Amino acid sequence: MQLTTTALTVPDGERMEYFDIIDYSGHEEDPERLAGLLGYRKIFELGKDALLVDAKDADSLARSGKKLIIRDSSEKGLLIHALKNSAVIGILANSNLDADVMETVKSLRKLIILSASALTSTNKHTRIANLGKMRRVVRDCMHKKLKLAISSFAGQKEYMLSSLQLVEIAKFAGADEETARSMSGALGDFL
Amino acid sequence: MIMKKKYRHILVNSSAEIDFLNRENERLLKDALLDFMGEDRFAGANPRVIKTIDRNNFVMNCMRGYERDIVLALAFAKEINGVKTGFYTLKISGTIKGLAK
Repeated sequence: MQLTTTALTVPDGERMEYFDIIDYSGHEEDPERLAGLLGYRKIFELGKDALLVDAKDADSLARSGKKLIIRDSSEKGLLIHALKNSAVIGILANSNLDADVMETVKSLRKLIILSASALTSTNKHTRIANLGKMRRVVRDCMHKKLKLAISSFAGQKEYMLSSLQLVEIAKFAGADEETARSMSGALGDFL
Repeated sequence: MIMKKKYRHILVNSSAEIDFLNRENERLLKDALLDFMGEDRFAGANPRVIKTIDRNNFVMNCMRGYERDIVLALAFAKEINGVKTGFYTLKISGTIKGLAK
């Protein structure tokens, strides 16, 4: 039995493409083969295709030529300033975002990115707490019509996810079917 | 009239080599799924490992309508019998033959 994963198709017959970001290097598998097996168009690597940085470091690291994802922070002013940098594609947010930050993300057409590893790589009680926060973020972003993305951000091979699983986790976090599929493919437009 | 049961078959790849011909491993996997899904949903899904392709790939089946729950629950099962692993669901089909396409 030859093992492949067909990309999920949306009802009108268009082929959805899914993308993922992982947070570890040194894996021995061929990235293209792994992407094909798990049902992704491409798997990006943090450190190679994009950087995960704090808001205060965004300006200095923008010169590296890589796309930046900034961590959520309580310092609203720093976040808004960092978002205006063209190298920044969005915020990695797993808890409530400030309303002004969300407005800035919306006006600049950036992403709110969710990390599935907040659910998959934690114990049950932490997972439940993180799930509650993530559902609030998804609900608020869907209400304000912000662009959402989700990735595994797997730190180890065991925490990687197939495209099927990533869509299900997006639904688990409160997205409807259409939003969940678009969340799993959103990174492709930015990276 | 006995109604025909309708199943969904799920092709799963595990990152570590696990022998699901060993019933103990299958039981531990089901325990992990039960822990996430809860007794109500687990009983409705009735998941089983029905075919072992090799030590990294196997086929599970479950009742129709519960395949999404199994896909999600497998994303959270990270250890079987002390072996750390990830379970990646590759495909869902109504038939085992459909998984091979």
